[in-house]
Amino acid sequence: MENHLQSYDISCTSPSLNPFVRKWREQNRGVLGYLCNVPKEIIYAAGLLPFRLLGDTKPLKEAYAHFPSVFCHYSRSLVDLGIQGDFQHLDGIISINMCDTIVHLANAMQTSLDVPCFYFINRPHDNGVPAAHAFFRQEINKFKQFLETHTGKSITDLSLARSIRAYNQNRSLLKELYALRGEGDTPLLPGIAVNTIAYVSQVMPPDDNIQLLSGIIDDVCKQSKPTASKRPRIHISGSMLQDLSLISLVEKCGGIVVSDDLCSGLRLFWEQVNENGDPLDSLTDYYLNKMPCPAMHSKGIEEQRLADIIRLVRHYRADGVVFCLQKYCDTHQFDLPYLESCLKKEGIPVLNLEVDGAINPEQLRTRLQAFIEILS
Amino acid sequence: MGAKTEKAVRSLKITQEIYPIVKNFYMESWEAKKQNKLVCWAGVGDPRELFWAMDLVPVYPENFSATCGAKQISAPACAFAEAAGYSRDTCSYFRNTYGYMVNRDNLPEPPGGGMAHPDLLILAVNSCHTRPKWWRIMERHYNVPTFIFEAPTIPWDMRRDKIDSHYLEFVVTQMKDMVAFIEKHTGKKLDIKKLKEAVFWGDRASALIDEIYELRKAKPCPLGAEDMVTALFPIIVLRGAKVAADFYEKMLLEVKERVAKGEGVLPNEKHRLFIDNIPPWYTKGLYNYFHKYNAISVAESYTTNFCWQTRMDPERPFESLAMSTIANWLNISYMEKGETLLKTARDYQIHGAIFLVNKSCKVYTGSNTYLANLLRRELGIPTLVLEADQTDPRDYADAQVKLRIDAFMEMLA
Repeated sequence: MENHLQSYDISCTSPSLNPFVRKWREQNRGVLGYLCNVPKEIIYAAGLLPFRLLGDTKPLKEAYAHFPSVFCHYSRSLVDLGIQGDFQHLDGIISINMCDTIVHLANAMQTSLDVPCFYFINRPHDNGVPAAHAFFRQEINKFKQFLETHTGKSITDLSLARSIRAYNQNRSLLKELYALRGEGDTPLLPGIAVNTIAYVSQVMPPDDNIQLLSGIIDDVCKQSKPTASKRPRIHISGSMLQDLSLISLVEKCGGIVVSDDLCSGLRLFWEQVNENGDPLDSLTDYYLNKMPCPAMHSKGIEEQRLADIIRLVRHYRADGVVFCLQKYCDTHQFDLPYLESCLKKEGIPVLNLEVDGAINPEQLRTRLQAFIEILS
Repeated sequence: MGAKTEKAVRSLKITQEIYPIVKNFYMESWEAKKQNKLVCWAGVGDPRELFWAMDLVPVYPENFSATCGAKQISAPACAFAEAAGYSRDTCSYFRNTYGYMVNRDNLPEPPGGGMAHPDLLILAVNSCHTRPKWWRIMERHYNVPTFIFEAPTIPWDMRRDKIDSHYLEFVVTQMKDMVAFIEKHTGKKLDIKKLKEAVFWGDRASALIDEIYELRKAKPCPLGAEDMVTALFPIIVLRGAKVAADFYEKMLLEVKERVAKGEGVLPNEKHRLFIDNIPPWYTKGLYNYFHKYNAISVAESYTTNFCWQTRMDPERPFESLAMSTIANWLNISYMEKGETLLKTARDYQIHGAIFLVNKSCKVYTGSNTYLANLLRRELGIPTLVLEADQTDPRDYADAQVKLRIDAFMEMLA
């Protein structure tokens, strides 16, 4: 298992250091960076490697000269990395309309970075609007045509079906990994390992990732079962959690992380794309209706997010929820008071942490310890 | 305690006439019930002509919060929202409205008696994605029918006059759904004649304000930001109503007269400035501060470039309103903002540009660095960055801001 886990080193999230990016380029195959909920299946079906841009937590060096500081560290770190040449191996960057920050990040990259091409997909934020599906379907069709022009090759329904299958398999394997961590009385592998694997999976070719994940799951299942843990079980909620040492910190403070609803975690894989019917219709449907992030503003979306968190808390038998929100993340901040008060009314204790790039363990340790003690 | 703030000193007579218009506007919203009309709380970028045509009485929380800022009462309301758990980094228009929504009895009396209770909530999402979240919070609080529709952001491969047809079709479809929504709740069908009439008046007000903006190119500039930002009230809140066209008709006359006489705000105008971002409503006197250097803001992205005004064709009301809804300053790419700004800088003969860092409005502030770099690189125009929130005065550091202006103006001289 150690071998497989090594493939998930955080350094892989840099396109310059990722071994698969290097391999694909040696084989003259293109690599496209993407943000957020871009339908990566279409990129893969086009024969290109989709590489989610995850940024890093290092202090910023040059972003300030191109992008104001009113945005989250995640977005600014991407501008920083781009300016410093980390995206030199990317053939393009595909962006999508999710939160305001992502839209501005897309614009900042398009105007400041020397990357061969940039593309923007418009995505509705209200899946209750009757015309939204048709509009998004047109945008997805337009994106497919863009990729066909870019590669000079048609994207067939068969290649789309294969790509969707590969990503769906990734989703089921990650779900299995989460089950091995969070469904039993004791996690069969550490919280940090599971979150790191989910995080780094976003920069792996899906077919290779299937092999790696399957290998890890096999190894874990072969291990002898540990004794049941009495440590308080924690669910992490938030957007991009870049500094996964927070998970380790929770565990050092006496808790165990059993689940999350991070966009760099569970929200990546909770649902499957429908493999019947028209693939582009299925992708439109999936990306509009998947477990919502707060960038969506459909009627009842906050209530749905609350229900999703409660369902996950019950499913993974979490004792409490820790919100890890990025500073300047308006999208998540707007939902927070409602979620916090409703979770407390449900009898679910809540701790609210703000992160800004790298976490400050000294600042967070006391609060985490106090919270975990309450849960014990 | 309290930030040092200053009222604007105005040069135009017409600006005084805004106050009765604002007062009347709020008074009428309280009269709505007596007239069997529904009050709808709407977004400032919404297709307001439709509201007039359908006999709704629109009130605008964003404008209300700006007015609270101008009246120096927004700080406690904002603080209340923070006490309720909302981050201080979120939009201060929202925080102010939230404070008044849930805690009005313990806050200073709001201007015009505040906003009349909403019967409906309506919003076009055509700038930021935080406003719809704010509207959902209000929906949950007031439990009234709510209609939110989207005008998608215009990406860098399109321009306002070259938008893919499926974008405009999407907006038109949703607007027609909105008409059905309003009809359902008012019990009255849309009278297309009334809509065309409203679009006629909205277009008329737009044409007039466009002429006024043109006249600001004159040297010396007849009209600075200190008057212009207040004189925006009719085009933002009353576009589509005849009163807005009447106001700008009168304003145009006064400005034309000033240009004819060579009467500028500054007799010894030396430096022409461009100012970006939402006015800091609690200290509009900041615009006057530049005057001591014989400097004046002759163009602003919030006025000149924003597109509160849009030329519309009354015979094609839905298409016109779709264009007006989608094509504002906050819904376009950095590239289009940059092209527009370069043209403005040339047309208005700008010597220096001021960019405000306004944490409340990330969609506005986001393009600051790109635009400042562009002006410097392409036109050699020096730029200054100042921190000023739109309506929350608590972090506004007047002394520091003025020191920075002093240093900048010395460099320009």
